[in-house]
Amino acid sequence: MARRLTGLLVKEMIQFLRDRVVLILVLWLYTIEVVICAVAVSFEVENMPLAIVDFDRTPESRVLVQNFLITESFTSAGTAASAAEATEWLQQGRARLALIVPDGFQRDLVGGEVPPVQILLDGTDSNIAAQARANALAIVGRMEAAATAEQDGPGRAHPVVRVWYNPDGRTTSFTVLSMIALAALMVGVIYPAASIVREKEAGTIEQLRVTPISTTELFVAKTVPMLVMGLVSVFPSLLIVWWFGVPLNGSLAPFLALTAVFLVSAIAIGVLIASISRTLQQALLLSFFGLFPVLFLSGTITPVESMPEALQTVSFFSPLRHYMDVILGVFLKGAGLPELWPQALALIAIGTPLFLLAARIFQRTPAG
Amino acid sequence: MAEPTDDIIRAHGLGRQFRGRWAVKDVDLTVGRGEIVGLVGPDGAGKTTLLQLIAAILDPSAGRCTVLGFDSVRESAKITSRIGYMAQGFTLYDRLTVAENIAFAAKARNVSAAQLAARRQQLLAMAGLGPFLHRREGALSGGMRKKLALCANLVHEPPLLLLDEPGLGVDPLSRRELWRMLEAYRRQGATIVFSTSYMDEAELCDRVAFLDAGGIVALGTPAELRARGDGAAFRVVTDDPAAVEGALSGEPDVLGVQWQARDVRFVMWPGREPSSSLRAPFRDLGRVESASPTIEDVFVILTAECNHSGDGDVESPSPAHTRGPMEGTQAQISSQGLTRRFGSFVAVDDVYLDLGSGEIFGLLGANGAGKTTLIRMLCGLLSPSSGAAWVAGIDAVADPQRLRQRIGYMSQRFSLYPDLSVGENLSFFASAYGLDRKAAREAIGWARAVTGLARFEHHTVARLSGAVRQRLGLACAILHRPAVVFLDEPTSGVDPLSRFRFWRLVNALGAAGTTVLVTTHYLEEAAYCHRLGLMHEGRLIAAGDLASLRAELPADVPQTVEAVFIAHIERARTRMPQSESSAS
Repeated sequence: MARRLTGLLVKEMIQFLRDRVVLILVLWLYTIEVVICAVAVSFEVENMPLAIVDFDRTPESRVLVQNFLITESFTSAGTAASAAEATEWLQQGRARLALIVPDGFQRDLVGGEVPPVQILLDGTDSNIAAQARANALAIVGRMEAAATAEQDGPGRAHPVVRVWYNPDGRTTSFTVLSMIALAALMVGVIYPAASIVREKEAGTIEQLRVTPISTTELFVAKTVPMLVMGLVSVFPSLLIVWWFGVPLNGSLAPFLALTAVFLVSAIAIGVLIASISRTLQQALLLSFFGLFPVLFLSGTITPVESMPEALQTVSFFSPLRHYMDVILGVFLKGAGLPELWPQALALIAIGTPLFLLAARIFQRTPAG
Repeated sequence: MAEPTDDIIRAHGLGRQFRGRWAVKDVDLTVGRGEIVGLVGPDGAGKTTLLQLIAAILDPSAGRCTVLGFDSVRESAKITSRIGYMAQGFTLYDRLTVAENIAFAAKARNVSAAQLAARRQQLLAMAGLGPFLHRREGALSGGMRKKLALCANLVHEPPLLLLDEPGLGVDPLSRRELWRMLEAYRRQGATIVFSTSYMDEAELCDRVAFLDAGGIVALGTPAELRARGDGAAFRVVTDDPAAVEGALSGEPDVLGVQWQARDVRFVMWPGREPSSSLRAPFRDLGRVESASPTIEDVFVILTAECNHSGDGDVESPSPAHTRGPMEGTQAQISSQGLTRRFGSFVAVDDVYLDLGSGEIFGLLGANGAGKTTLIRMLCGLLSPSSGAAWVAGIDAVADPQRLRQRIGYMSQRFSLYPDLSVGENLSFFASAYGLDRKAAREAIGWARAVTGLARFEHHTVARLSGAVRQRLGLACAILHRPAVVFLDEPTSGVDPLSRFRFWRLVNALGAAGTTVLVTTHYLEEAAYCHRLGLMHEGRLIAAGDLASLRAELPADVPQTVEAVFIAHIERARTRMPQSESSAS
């Protein structure tokens, strides 16, 4: 028993280390891919071309325009003569948003009324548009607040917002960490699936079936090394984390422990996919189909809170959702097991039945 | 035609290098219109590479080749669009039907719809595939798939047809039909060049080219080639072929030995007579007389000559030290009414078997006759629909788990780890059978010596030749000294000399008490088996030694294994209600 298992584990390790393509793929997912996404996928609004239409032409209206342009969010695309011209610029893509200051802006502002400022947005990229809208509203709001504060004098409270855990408000930390979580999921699902299906394709699984190796031993040999390898391959990504200056506020031990728990679910999904695939091609396609719902329901792409209620409930079953909480919690909030035990329990609650199901199905259909 | 010549192929100094190694070197070959030329030679001799060079799908590293008057480098597109090239293995689309595959081949070759309609009917009639027009290619038997592939390559009526091992894995009946198609096609003026490991096909060629280490070592008509073996082939008529084989195996001058029913053929270095010391032990066993050489004898001589002078890569296995099954294990196989259905299709139909310890039993039959399904049931890989089977003293149906320690199985497909080395595969399978470190070391050392694998220890399996892989497959299957060994087409695609060496191992296993059940499409290999079973459409239609199988037939049937095999199948066909067979 022990001898057969040792033999199987040694064989799996040799095959993993010998397969250059997979090694490079794993490294790529955990490093280069993270870097590419962190650099390219940014929800921050920078240097958006702004068309300016100023009908007021007063000092206050000029201050408003200046307030827009001194931020990094917007750059001037020029002054348009009319709202129609600004709209045209939006159409052409010369400007991504237009600021239209109406006649009487200064008068209203001084008079304590809310002056109607019009902002036209190119909404084709809704993420960017939403962010730009928020920035624009904040600028206008600040001016109004300043104006009313002057009138009412000191003593009137106005909100001061502080962003915790991510004081710079950078999306890079989030992107880097979520890409690492995604890499763990992809490697965890695809590698065991590929290694099982490859044996089916080569016919070696049938050769194993005429040896005394039991399906339980084979199942252990297909999952345990993957858990170890999945944990080891997290380390190169820590370099990337450090390189992007993402803080590690918590400690590594609970992170690794919870990563292992998360990988159990991923590997179970991989084994399930392998059980119903005959070829590597099918397994890879199925992996992608399986990964998308897990990914979309995890809160990595849209916050769970903004999903319809039914989907929010479903999202509880996405192990990636809880793992995202874990990875963000450990790195940004400095959380440990005392804070993350609900996530740990959730991961165990999802992983255990998945793993048992995978083991059962694998034992039933070892040769597909 | 660009050149005023009737030569279809003209190769001069043709060579091709892969990573510094010459796969084909300095080949001069001229093939005239209407010729059939066969390429034979040991594994890795360069047959496939030479065919690809002629097909203009591979550029030469040296020399030049003109095909149909076109240069194979500058005008390769003109060559590839005109010729037919059939690669090894199954190369059609298994999810398309017979008709769809043909239609696709026609489209790819710019054959008009009107031409296609006429040719399709003619081709499919010739191949006997007419009734299966709408069957998926993957659901056809191996023989039918090969015939369909040939049809797909004939749809544009190519003047030159290049075939790489067309008979590989195809049963003798289908092979005969394939050959008939080729002959009919040749009569229309086409030229055919093909590689083969079947010496009976080589005998039927106009000319045969023997390749070794990338070069043509001998080229001529079958008769001319046979003449090279004059005086080197001998025959001993005997009642005890095993003893004769034993006496011959230690002789350095003896190149190859082959058993027939009551006589043993052997080949010696040309020009060397059996010495008196060699003749001495035969006095009681039988008379040594000279025999007329066959192509196979010449193959053995040429391979030996090449290895003698050049860098011999063949390491002889030494079966003398073969170990039998573990003490105290039974080695019989018996089955009663073993049946397996897949839906309405009966793959194995009511088979009764009874094999004694140390018996070598050969299963013959067409593709899809049920041989593999039968073996899979006896191994415990597949549960029967009904019937019982005992293997090595264990109920194979009820207790397949316990059976595994006692049997060895080599499947039809090569199924070891291609990314591991020879040594790593051996140690892995030793651990798979639970051998402890000491026992594993002994078993591996023994298996390596017996199968002649020592020098390949660190070679990655993916880069080994077919013959070496097959010996490794056998080594991995016998590490744990099983009582019963199942070998499913173990010698498919292996050259005659390597096959002969493989069979010596099998015989040694049998002599040591291991029971061996083996399938093969090489009918001459039937001579190595103690008894034969003929399978047809799932049923075991005859079983017994060659002599008794012959005795069951009318006296006018020729004495060859092939004739006996075909006569039995034809007799079964007339007795059984005709049913549509398909692959298992």
